[in-house]
Amino acid sequence: MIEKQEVTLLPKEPEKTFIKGLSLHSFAQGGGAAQVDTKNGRIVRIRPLHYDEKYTPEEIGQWKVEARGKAFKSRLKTLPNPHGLAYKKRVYSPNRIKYPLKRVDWDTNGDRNPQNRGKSKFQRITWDEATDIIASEIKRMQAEYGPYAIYLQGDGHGESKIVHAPHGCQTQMFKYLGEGEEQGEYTLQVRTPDSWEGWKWGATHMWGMSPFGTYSPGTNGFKDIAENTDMILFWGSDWETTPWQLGGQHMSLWAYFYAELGIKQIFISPDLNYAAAVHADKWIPVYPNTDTALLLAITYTWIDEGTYDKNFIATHAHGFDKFKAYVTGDEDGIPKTAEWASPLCGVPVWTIKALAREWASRVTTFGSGTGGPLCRGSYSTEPARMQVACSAMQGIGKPGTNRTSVFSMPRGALMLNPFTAYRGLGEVRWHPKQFLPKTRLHDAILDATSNKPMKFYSTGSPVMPTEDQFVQYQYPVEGCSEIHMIWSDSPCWITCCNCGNRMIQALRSPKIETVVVQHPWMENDTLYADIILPTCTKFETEDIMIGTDSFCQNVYPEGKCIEPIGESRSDYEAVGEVARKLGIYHQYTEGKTVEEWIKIGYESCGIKDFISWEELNEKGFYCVPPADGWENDPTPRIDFYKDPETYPLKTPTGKIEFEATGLLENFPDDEERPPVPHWIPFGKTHQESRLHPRAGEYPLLLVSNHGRWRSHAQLDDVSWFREIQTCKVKGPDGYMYELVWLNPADAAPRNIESGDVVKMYNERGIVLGGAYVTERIMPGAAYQDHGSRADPITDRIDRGGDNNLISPAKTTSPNTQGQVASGFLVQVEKVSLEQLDTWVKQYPEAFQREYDPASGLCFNAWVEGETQEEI
Amino acid sequence: MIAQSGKGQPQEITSPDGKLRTLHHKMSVNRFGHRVVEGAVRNISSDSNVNAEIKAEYYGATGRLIGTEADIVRRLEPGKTGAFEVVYSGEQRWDIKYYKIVTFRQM
Repeated sequence: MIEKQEVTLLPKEPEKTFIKGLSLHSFAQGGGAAQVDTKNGRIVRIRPLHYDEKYTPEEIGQWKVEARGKAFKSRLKTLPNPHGLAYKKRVYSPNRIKYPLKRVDWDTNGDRNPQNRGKSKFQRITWDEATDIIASEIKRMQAEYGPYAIYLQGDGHGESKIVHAPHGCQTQMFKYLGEGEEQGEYTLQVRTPDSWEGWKWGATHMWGMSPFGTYSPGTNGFKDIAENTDMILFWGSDWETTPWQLGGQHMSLWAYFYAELGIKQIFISPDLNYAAAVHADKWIPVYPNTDTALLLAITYTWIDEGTYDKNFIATHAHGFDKFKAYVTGDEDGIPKTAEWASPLCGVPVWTIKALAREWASRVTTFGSGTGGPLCRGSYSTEPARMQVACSAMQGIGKPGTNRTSVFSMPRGALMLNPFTAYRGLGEVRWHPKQFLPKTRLHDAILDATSNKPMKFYSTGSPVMPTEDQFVQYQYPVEGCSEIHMIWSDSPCWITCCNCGNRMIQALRSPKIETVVVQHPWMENDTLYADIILPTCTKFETEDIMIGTDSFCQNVYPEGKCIEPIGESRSDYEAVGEVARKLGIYHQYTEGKTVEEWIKIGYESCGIKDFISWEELNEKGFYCVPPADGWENDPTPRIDFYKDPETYPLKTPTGKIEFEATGLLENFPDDEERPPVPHWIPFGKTHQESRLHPRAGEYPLLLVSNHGRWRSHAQLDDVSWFREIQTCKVKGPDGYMYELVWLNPADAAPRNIESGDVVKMYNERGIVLGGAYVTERIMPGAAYQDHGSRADPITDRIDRGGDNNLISPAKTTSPNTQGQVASGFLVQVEKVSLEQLDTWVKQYPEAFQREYDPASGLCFNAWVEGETQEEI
Repeated sequence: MIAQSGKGQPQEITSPDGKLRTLHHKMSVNRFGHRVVEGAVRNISSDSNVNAEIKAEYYGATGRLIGTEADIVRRLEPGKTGAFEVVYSGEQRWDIKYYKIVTFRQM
């Protein structure tokens, strides 16, 4: 019999709908526009935005690409990625920080206990107390050490917001601090080009494409492939995963369309990635960090068989003779044949030759991606340059012989300006007197002093011209202080950068007296803070989005969906509270309210001649149609292909430089980035190779791509994803472990089966995971997604699956500032229940933290005297 | 996005000493909204190792000068061409409507 229960019905409040941009690209760029439905003050669902509910296809400017009797039409709705559609789980995560916190054993008037960062817990304080402390610490730093003692860490990736900018609001505030020459000064963390390291530090010296190093312009790249390409090589590229954070799932549709057109799709990577799983005509597994050997063997085959474009090379290339001498073995006595490459890269001789011949006989393009060791590996400059070499040898720029990227859409009728209203850190060329490339922060703290400054080449900034790579800088700058305070709004350094364990060591340095973090979630670097300000998600504020979505640029006011969780405030408002305490609030806001900044966003973005403010609010959004005549825009670099003398590249010779003039003149003796691309399995800087003796102890090369179920370090607490087989696996202790993929041939001798807890380790530390035995990873390699949340058991032992903790600390090569976060050596072993039990006994506090299998570690795990409240 | 060319300026500009000539130039906008005056310069003299300075001014709608930037193309041999990119990345870049190449000379 069913017992009668008293049920309280919620009032029948009608649903409300808001539009939000849910890409996690960050900065002022949008993407992933979606409709968010709320009821009774809570988010109930997130769904695509249908443009055709308010506009006709003609008004939207629906476009199509016709080729080979078929057509690709832009869709009349957005294609938000699963990350966006599941984002309400992030908003209501038990990991949300609900109020300001201070580390319990950090005393500004006594002992600061830096060695306890990441170990000791936090206690609740008020906003008034927190901002008093921060303002007071800023003043003290400036008085005691000068302005450069304060390091502002505003980095990439996060929610895309304009007025409530996710990163760098502090830099806006610091404009108004200090006097005279010191006004506006601090030490800036320069965002380095993460995930396109090989292009920035390698390819740019070969084909110009300044400043980013990636192939540009992208205009009509998709159209060119549809019309002219026979075969696409997806080299370490995953169109079903990586583009998600940039705005949606449109790249998936293009891959399906290309298959319809009969364009062959070949995937070359150690793992059968998610795009390969559904689109590949063939998957060619290659050992991590050995792409250069494979590409060299392809060029050898072409040279040997005379199947490269000799006329193009004669007129468009510089230094090919030097390159050819290296490939044929005239330089070093080793011909780079398929027979030479096969044991190095793991690809059979027959396959290498077949690929080379297929490539030479078909119009081939690269499907660019930003993942894997090709960009994020040691010496990634070499495979990136080898891709340029191969493209050049087949006449890059001619119809169908290109590279494409997510930015290859039709040109819009106007280019939107999101920056006037943007209140965060912009991608500008200016930098203050003292700065550090992000990848060198731990080196700076641990190794550099005023008496022994750290010297490095390049600011590290992706937007600086190539010549910047030849300029030497130093930290500390003469007359400037070392850093003693860090203020971060992007606390994922230990989960996103090179050797998180070394960064933890740096954060515990007594030199660092104060660490301030502002963030919505209690995760990663936040655990190493002294003061934490709780910030809110974009659902909890009003804003405006001005950005690019899957098929067009669009603008939409973003309403406030729900009230802020706990005492959280937006990043912009949080910094504003500190500005108040410093007496510069009016300057910081420029005397304008958030509503006024939103209106400025509309007025300055470029659409006001096309739609009034009132109509924009009534309709909810505006789509920018493509420009008239976009179909006739030249395909990328066709001008260079047709006439290299009149349309030279931005290289010193104007040609594709097989021998890089800039490298030859500035770093002639750099054996780890020589003027001509070389096969460098290991060197002085890195020994991440199966050929190095280290492989005896650590025999597997770990591949760590951008996560399928996360965007870098974001979204690890989304319960919907954690249920998915390729996201987490439940261990015998009930903990949800991050997957470690192993080939059956590597799992069997280790007595590992799917679901076992394993430890992945090298001399830099131990990271636990859950085994996933699959043939989707080749033998000799292991795979784990990038970005799982750190969960320290003790120093150098992590339970959370944060493999960046044990990635190499050094940069791509000595004169570059790229990070190495994939393709490094590890050993993997099964963890027995006895071993787990030993750790439980040794480090009981780590295993007693409040933990929810559905979402991971909870906020309360780190806060004294709190019990979980549902939010 | 392809923006307009230099206002009223021919594609071919010859340096005062007659040794250098632009072949073409236009303004484009990169991913960050930076305004890039890009083009090519040729050494039309018999001199070796010639450096070319290209300086551009950027203007708003009413003719207001917004900024000035420059690029140098180094070591042009006789008859050879080099690419230039004069980049304006300042906060007012979105107000730029046109540009002028104001200095084009041997360095």
